[in-house]
Amino acid sequence: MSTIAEYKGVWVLGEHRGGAIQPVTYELLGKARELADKLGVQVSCLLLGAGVKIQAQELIHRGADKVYVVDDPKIEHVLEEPYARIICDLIRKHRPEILLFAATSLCRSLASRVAVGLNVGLTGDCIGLDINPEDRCLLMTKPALGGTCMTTIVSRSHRPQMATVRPKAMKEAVCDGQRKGVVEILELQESFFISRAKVLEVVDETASTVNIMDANVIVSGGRAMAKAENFKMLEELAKVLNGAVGASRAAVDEGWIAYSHQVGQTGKTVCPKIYIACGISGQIQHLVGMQSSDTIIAINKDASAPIFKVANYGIVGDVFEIVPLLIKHFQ
Amino acid sequence: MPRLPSLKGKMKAKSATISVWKAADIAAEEARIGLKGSATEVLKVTTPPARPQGKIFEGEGAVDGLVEALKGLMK
Repeated sequence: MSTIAEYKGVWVLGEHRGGAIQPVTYELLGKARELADKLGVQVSCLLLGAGVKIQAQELIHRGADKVYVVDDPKIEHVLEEPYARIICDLIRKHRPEILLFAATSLCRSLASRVAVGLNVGLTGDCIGLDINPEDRCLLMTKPALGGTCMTTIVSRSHRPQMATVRPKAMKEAVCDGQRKGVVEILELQESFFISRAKVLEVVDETASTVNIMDANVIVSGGRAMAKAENFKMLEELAKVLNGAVGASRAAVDEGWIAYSHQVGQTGKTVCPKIYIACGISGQIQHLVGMQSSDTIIAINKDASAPIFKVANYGIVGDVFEIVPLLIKHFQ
Repeated sequence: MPRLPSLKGKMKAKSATISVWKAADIAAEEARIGLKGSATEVLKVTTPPARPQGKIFEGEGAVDGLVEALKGLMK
């Protein structure tokens, strides 16, 4: 067993979809760079997939000193077994002190598998990371109890210190075309790629169900939307604002919109720049899914609706009058 | 399915002995339980500052007010 002081460096797992690096990776790299500079160590990024080699330079431009690439058609799709095996092996070899993943559905699952494989702790869903200058420990801050409080968590006794980080919680690293770094393309033995699970088919979400977790603007509808047809209005507003459509559980239960749009405790947790709640009263189960949005705008007939308590801006009035006016303004 | 306890069940519960096991009773290793057995520990818990009271637009120019606010945010 190596001692804690032997672990050096900050590692980030790069996330991509079909070879396109996801913005959250740049957010992680920005934070990793900051942490590494405080510690006086290097930033490494790990990229797994098929046809991903060409992205390595971009990761260096965004702050990585070293990029490890495993580029193999056998891992074109994310298969957790081989992915976790490869990551664990590299971590054991290179011993970074910090390992960061994005808190996306894909990487959350992978991170927990890696944490168990390495027998270390994992703090999920962090929104703040810092270094304690006294003991060089990573301070991981995350919302707890449905966002009603913040907890700061440390892992003193185990390395690497692992965290998953919420998308949009940190600033993207700026691209510096002059940055230099090292790219290492790894050739791995067949045994690394063994997977008991196989991907049979990948079905893309239909165009209308954009991933609301990635959206900068979300226009959400609740019970007061009254029927499915009325969501067209919200789609239109979302479109002119370049955003996505969300919904409260009430609207989803009524069958007005698909579950993939549901925001809240039993749906998705979102943190867009702007969240527009239309005809949503703001039950706590909905609020926990959206209250970390940068700006919340509420449109509701009922002036005493709890949604106005968390809203930065609000209009007390009829959604069906106000939304069309907003659409007109932003067209 | 949740069920209501029967009278018979309630009577039985009154005299039931409930065994409480300590770590030693189940031969749990000291180093693997509690805070000692955890790879992470909570350093502090804080309450996030309450959101400041939002601005409510009313009356005639309500939508215009909101549009201005939105435009400011979209920049």
